[in-house]
Amino acid sequence: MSHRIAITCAQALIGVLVAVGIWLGLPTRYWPVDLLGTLLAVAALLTAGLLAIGARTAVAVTRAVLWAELVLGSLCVSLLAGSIAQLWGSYGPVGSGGALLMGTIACLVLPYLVALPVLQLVWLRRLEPRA
Amino acid sequence: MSLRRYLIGWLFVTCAACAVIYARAHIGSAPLPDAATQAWAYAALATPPGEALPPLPPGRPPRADGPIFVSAYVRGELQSRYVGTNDLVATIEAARAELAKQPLRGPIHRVLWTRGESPLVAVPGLSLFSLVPLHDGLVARCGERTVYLTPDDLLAREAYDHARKPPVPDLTFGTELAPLRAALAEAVALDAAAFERECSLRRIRITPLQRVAADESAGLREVQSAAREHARFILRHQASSGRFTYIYDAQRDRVRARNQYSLARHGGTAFFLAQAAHRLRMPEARAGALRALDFVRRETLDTCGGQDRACAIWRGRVEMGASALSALAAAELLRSGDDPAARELLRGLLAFMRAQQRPDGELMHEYDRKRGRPIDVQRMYYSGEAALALLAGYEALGNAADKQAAERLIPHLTGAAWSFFGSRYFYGEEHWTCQAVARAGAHMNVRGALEFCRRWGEFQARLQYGPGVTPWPAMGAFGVGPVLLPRATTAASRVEALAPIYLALAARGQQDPELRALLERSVGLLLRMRWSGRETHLFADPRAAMGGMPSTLAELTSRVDMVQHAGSALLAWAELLERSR
Repeated sequence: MSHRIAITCAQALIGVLVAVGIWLGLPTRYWPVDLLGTLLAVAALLTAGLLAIGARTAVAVTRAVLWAELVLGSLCVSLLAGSIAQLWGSYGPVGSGGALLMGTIACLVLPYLVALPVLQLVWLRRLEPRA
Repeated sequence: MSLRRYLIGWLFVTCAACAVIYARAHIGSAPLPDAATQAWAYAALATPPGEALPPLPPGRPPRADGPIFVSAYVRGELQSRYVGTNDLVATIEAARAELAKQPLRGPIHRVLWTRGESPLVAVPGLSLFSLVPLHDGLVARCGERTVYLTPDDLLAREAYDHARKPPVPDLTFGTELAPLRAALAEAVALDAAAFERECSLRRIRITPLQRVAADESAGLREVQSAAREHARFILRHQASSGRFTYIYDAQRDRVRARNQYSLARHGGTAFFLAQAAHRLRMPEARAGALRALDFVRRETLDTCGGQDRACAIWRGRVEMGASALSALAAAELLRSGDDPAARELLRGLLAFMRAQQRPDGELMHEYDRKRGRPIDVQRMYYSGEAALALLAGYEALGNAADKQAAERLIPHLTGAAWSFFGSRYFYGEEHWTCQAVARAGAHMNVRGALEFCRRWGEFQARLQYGPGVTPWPAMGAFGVGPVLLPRATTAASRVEALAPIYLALAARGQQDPELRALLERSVGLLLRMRWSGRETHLFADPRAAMGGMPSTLAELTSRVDMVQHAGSALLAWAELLERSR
C-alpha cells in the first residue's frame, strides 16, 4: 500500500515539474520539446490519478509511462553528455563555466527523469501479483 | 527487457557514443613555423618580382597539415588566392609567381597555415557549434575538385557568432552551416542535392601566420596612445551635428544603418571625449564633446517638472540614463575649461535628477510629462550613472544639494538595494555604481560601499578567463562558457570601475595585488582586441578604422559605446599607473 502511495506522489510530482519546467521555465517555444514534455506530464498525472483511485489497469499503464519517462530522461542525459563530448573535442576543455552549466542541467534531469523512474519501477514490482 | 539490462546498456552506449563523438570532433594542431620564418613569408611576398628573396631563417620550417593559402586583399576584398602545398618555401615561391601575373595596387597579403582536418560532427541540436569561430573553416571535396572556406572567408561573411540572438543584450552565438554549404555548392557549380550526394564536407583548422610578433606591453605610454586612438576614431566618425556614428562597418568603410541610435550611449561617448580632453590634453576631443552636448541640447532637451529641471527626451520618452550621462559629460568637460552652455546644461540636468529621488535615496527612473510626476520604476545602470553624475556635478559646480543626493543614493545602491538571501553570491552590473563609490571617497564616508565594490570585484575575478580557458586569446575577458566569444565591453567596464576602486582601497592602506592582476589581464585583452593596424586585410580603409573596438574578435563593426568603454577603461588604468609610480 505504501509503495502505491509513494508512486502516486512521485508521478504527480514529475507531472507537475515537467509541465511547469516546460511552460514556465523554458524561455522559448519549441514544439518537439513542448509536445513530448506535455504528453509526458499529462501521462504522469494520469497514472497518479489511476493509482489513486485504484483502477484495474493502473499498474500496467504506470509501467508503460515509467519506461517512457526513463527512456526520454536517459536519452536527454545521453544527448547532454554527447554535447559535452562534441564541445570538448572541438573547443578544448569546456571549462568550469561550461561544465557547471551542463552539470546543472544534467543534475536537474537525472533525479527526476532517470533515478525516480528507476526507483518507481522497482517499487512497482512489489505491487504486481506474484506469478 | 529488464531494468538492470536497460541501465547497463544505456550507460555503455552513452559512454561509447561520447568517446566516438569526442574522437571525431577533436582536431589536430600541427605546429606553426617560428616567428622569424612567419615574418620571412610576408617579406618574401613583398619582394618585387625579379629581386632575390630575403634569406630564410636557419632551420627547416615544419610542414603544414594541409595546404598553405596565400591571399591578396585590396580595400578589404579578396583579389586572389593561391592554394599551395604543405611546404612553405615552395608555396611562397609559387604564390609570388602567380600573384605577379595579376599585379595589384597596395595588396595586403595573408598567409594561412592548415593545422588539421576532421569530420564535421554535430550532436543533434549542436550544429551551430560545429565550427570554432576564427579557427575553423570548411573544405568540400567533390571528385577532382576541392573548394575551401577559410576562417577569413567566414569572418568576411559575418558567418561566425551570428546564427542566434537570444533575448540577452548584445549576446549572439553559433555559426549557421546551411548558407556555407550553399556557398560551397555554388563554388563547384552544383545544386544543393548534387552537392550533398557528390561532395564530402569536412572541418579544417587554419591559423594565419603573423607578420610581426604581437606587442603585449601595457605600459603607460602604450595605454595612453591606445586611448588617444579611440578618441580619434570617435572624432573621425562624428557628424558636424555632434551625432556619433553609432555602428561603423570597417569592411565597407561606412555607417551601418538600421540600428536605432542610443542617446544614453551618445552621452557616455561625450563623457569619454571630455575625459580625453582633460587627461590626454586633446583640444579636438573637447571640441567633439562640446558638439555632442550641443546635439543633446538642440535635439533632446526639455523641462520636466519645472523650468530649472532639464531632461533629455528621446523618441518621446524621458531618458533618465541619457540625462545622467550627459550631465556626467558636461561635468567632465568643465575640468578642461569653463563653458557657460555646458554649465547651464549640467545645472538643469542635476536639478531634474535630484527631483527624481525617493526618501530612501533610490531614484525613480521614468517621468510622466502629462501628469508632471516621476514614475517609480528602476532600470539597469541608471542609478549608478546618476550617482556618478551627481558627484561629478558637485565637484564642478559646488552645489551641496548634489552631494547630499549622492550621500543618500550611494549607501542605498550598495546596501538596501542589494540585500537579499544570496546577495553575497550573485551580483549585477555595478560598474557605474563602483565608479561613483570610488569618486565619493573624497567627499563622504564610503567604508560600506567600498566593501561592497571589493566584493563585486572578487565576484568578477571568479568570472574572468585565465589563459587557455577558451580557444581564443581571451585571457582577461569575462564569461561563463568557453563556447561563446568573449565580449570586450564587459572587460572594459570592469576596468573602468575597479581601477578607481583599487586606488581607493590603496589610499586606505589596503593593497590588493589580485585585483591589480585582474585589471592588468583585462587591459591586455582590450589592447589585443582594438583595431590597431595589425590585422587590416578585411578593412576597406584601415586608417579610418584605426582606434575602433569590435564587440568580439569575430566582428568587423565597431559600436560607439564599445570604443567609449575601452577608452575610459584605458584612461582609468593609465591613472592607476601614474599614481602607482
